[in-house]
Amino acid sequence: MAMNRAEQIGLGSAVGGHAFLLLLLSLGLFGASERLMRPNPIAVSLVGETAPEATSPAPSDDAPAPATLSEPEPAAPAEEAAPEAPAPPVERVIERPIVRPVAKPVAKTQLKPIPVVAKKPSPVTVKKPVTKPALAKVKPVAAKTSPAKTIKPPVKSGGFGKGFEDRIAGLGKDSASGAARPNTANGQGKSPTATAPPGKPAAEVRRSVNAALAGQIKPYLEACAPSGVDMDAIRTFITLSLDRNGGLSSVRFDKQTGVTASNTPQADPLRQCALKAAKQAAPYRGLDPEYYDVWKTHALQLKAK
Amino acid sequence: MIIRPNSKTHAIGLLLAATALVTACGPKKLKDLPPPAQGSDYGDNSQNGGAGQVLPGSQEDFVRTVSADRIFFDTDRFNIDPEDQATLQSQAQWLGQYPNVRITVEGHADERGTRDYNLALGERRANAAKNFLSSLGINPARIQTVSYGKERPQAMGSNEQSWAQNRRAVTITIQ
Amino acid sequence: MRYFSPTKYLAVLGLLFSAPMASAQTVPEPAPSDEPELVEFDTAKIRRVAVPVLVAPSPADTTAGNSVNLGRQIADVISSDLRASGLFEPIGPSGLRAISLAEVTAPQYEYWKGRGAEQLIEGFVRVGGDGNLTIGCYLYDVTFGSEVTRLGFVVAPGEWRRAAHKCADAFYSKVTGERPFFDSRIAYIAETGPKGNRMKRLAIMDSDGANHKFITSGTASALTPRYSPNYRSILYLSYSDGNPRIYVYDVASGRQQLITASKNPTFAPRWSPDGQSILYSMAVAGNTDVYKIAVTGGAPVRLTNTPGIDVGGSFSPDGRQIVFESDRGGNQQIYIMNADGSNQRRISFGGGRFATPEWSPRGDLIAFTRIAGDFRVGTMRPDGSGERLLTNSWQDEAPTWAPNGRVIQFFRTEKNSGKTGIWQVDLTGANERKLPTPVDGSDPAWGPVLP
Repeated sequence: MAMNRAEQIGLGSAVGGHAFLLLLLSLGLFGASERLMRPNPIAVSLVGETAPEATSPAPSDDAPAPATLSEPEPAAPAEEAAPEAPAPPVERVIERPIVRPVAKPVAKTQLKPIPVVAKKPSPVTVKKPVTKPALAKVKPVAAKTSPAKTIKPPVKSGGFGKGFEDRIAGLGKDSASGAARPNTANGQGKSPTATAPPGKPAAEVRRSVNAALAGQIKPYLEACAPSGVDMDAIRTFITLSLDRNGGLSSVRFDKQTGVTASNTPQADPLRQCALKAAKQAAPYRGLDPEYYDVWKTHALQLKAK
Repeated sequence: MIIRPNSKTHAIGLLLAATALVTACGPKKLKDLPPPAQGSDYGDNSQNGGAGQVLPGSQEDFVRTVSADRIFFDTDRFNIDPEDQATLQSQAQWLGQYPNVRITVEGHADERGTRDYNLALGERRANAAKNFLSSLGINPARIQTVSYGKERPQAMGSNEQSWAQNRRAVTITIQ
Repeated sequence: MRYFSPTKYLAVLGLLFSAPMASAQTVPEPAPSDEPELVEFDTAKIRRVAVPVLVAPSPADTTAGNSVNLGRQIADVISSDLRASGLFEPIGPSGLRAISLAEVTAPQYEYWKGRGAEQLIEGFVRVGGDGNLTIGCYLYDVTFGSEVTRLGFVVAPGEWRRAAHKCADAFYSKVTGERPFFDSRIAYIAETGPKGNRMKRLAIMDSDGANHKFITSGTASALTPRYSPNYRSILYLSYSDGNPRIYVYDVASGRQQLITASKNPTFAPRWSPDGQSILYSMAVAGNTDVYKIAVTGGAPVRLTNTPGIDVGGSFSPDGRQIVFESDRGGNQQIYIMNADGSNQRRISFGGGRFATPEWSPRGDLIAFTRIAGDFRVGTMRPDGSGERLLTNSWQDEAPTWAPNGRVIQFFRTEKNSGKTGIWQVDLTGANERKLPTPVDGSDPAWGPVLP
C-alpha cells in the first residue's frame, strides 16, 4: 500500500518535515490570536478503540479543546428553564409526568414556571456522537470501496503520481518526531533537502477535504442555525479532529468574529449548533485515507449566507 | 345647506349676501381649487335647512357672508398666502360685526403624514389662521384652536385633489 | 463555495509549473491563507415543528373545561404562536396521532422524522387537587435526537393560554437565541365606520389577538395608546373634552386622568422604560415640543426648544437617551438627544422624510416610518447607519417593537378606503402577516413580556 511506503519515506525525509510546517501554516492553527486562546495543552479525548494512531500527536494536541465531545448539550435544562421568571419557582422538579401534582396555587396574574429539571438525562439525550464514530462501520478501506464518494485532490488525477502522493502522505508523519513547532517554521531551514513545494499539494487536499466536510456538515448546520439580523456577519471557527475512519474524535470551538449588537442573541446558539452539527454529521465519508494526515485535524470557518 | 366654498354659484351667493349684510367685503377670490367633496362638513352649518331665514351672527350667517370658512395649505406648509389672507380678512370683517361671537379654528392635515406629526401640523395651521385673524384686530381670546390631524378628512379620495382639500384650517363659530 | 482565496489559486498554479522551481523562487512562500476555508450555510429555512396534543393523563374538569380539551387547545396555541413568528412551520395538532404519557419523556424520534418534523413539542396537562393546572412542556430536536429544554407551569385554569405562550416562548427562545415575546399584550386603536367619520376606540388584546377587550366606548376619538411597562395603565390620546389631550387610564379601576393640567393640546405619549416618567408632545401657540413629566406629577420639563415641530420620542432601553422626530431642518427627520434634552443631533440622512422613531428594547436598532412617496417601516442603528426597509406598501406606519426586539408591528392603511389593519413582520423582513382583530386596527403598542 502506498500508505506504508509513504510512511517510511515520510519518516526519513526532511521534505516531509518542511511540508508539515507549511501545512501548519495552511491550517492557520498557529495564528497569534488562536495561540492565546488555548494556553493549556490538553489531551484530545479520543474514543478508545479508534486511537491506533494516537501515538502521533496531532497538531491539535496543542489545543485545550474546550469543546470536545463532552461539550454540554444544549439541553441543559436547569438554569435555562426559567430565564424570564421573576417569581420563585414553585416546585423543584418534574422529572416525568407522573410526578405528584405541583402544590401551591398561583397568584392570579403570575405564571410560575417550574424548572423541570432532568435529574438524569432522558435516555435519548445521551451523547450519541461520542459512541458513534463507528470504527466497525467504516474501515480504512471503506472509503476506497466507494470511490465515487472519495474526493481526491484534482491534481492527483492530473497525473502527479506517486511523488505527490508521497509528499502528502508523509506530511503528518514527521510530526511524530515532534519536530514540528510553530516557531521553527520560519526558523533555520530544518529541511534543506526540501526541493519540492510540499505546501501546495497540501492546500489542494485541504480544499477537497473541506468540500467533503462542508457538504456533510451543512445540512445539520442548517437544521439548527438560528436566523436573525446580521447573521451573515458572524463567522464561527471550529476545528475537527478526525480518526482514520472519518469518525469525530473531538470538535473544538475556536472563536467567533463579527458579533454585533444585533446578532448577539444568535452568537451562542450558533456556536452550539456548529458543535452539534459537527458531531451529528460524523462519521465523515469521502475522505481519502491516504491523506489522513492532512485531514486528521481540519479547521472550518462557518458563515451564514 | 351644504357649503361649497369654491363653487361658482356659491361665490355669487356669497357676493350677494355680503353686499346685503356687510358694508364692504374684502377682495373676492377665485381660487383654482379642486372640485368640492361630496358630503357635508361636520361643522354645524346646515341647521337652517335653507329656509331663507338667516339669523344674523349665526353660523349660517357666517358661512354665507364670508368668502370662505376655510383656508388651504400646501403639503407640509402652514403659511398664510394672499388668497388665505383675503379669506381671513372676510372672516375678520364678519367677526368685527359680531364682537360677542367666539370661534374655533380647526386645523387639519391630509392622510399622507404620520399621526402624531399631523396633529402637530394641524395645530400649526390652526394657529397660523388664528394669528392672522388677531393681526387683523380680532381679540385672540375669542379664538380657540383644535387640531384633528388627519382624523377628519373632508374629501375621501387618496389623491392630490382630495389631499388639497383636506389640508385646511376651518373657522367655526361657537354658538 | 463562493469563497475564493487568491493564495490558494497561486498555490495551484505553482504546482502546475513544476515543483523544483519553487525553491528557487523569491516569491514568498506559497503559504496558504491563514483562514480556514469557508463553509456557507443558509439560515432562512423554516423549521417544521410537530405539536401533538398535550396528554391529559387523568382527565378532569376544570373551570376552563376538561383537561383533555385543554391539552388540545394548548397545543393549538403553541402551534399558532410558532407559525406567527414566521420561523416555524408547525405540524399539528390537527392530523397528528395522540401520544402516550410515556412518550412525553421518551419521544419517538424516528416516527417524527418520518412525519417530516425537525423539532417536536410534547407535554401534558394535569389537574391538581386545588383545581389548578400543571402543564409540562418538553421540547425536542428530532434531527439531532436530543432534548432542547423542558418546562412546567402551575396555572389557574383560566390562565391556560399563558402557559401555552410560555411553552412556545421557551421553544422560540431556545431555537432562535432571542428573548421570548409571545406572552405579552398589545394596546391598539380599534376602528370602525366610514373614512370621514371613523369611530376610534382604545382596545387591548394578547399578542396573538386573543382576550380582546374594548376599553373606550367610542364617543370620543382615542389615539396612540402606550401600555405601561407593568401593564397597569395605558397612556393614550382622547378628544373627550373636545381637544387632543393625553390621559392615563388605570386598567384595574377603569379610571383615567389627564397627565398635565395644561390647557394646551398634548399628544404622542410615551413611557420611560422604568415607567416612572412620561414623554409627551405639547403644542403651545402652534409650536410643538417634547416634554417630560414624572408619573407622580410635578413640573414638566421641556426637552426641545426649536421653532419646528418636535414630536414623539422613545427612550433608549437604558433610559439615557431619547430618539424623536423633528422638522427643524425643513422636514421630518429623526434626532437623538440625551434624556435631559442636551446634545440634540440628527441621525437620519437617507432619502425622504423619517418619522415615528421607536427604540428597540434590545437597544441595537431604531424603527421608523420612512415617507418617500409611500410609507414604509424600517430600521436603522442608533448612529443612523444600516438603514433597512422591512415593508413595502402604500402606507405602513408607526412601528412598535415586540418585547424581544425581534418582531415589529405597525399599521397599514389602504388607499382610498382608509381601512386599517395591524401587521407584523420579523426583523429579517420575513413573514409579514396581518393580525386578527375583530375590527380594523391602528396604532399598535406592544407591552413587555408578562411575568
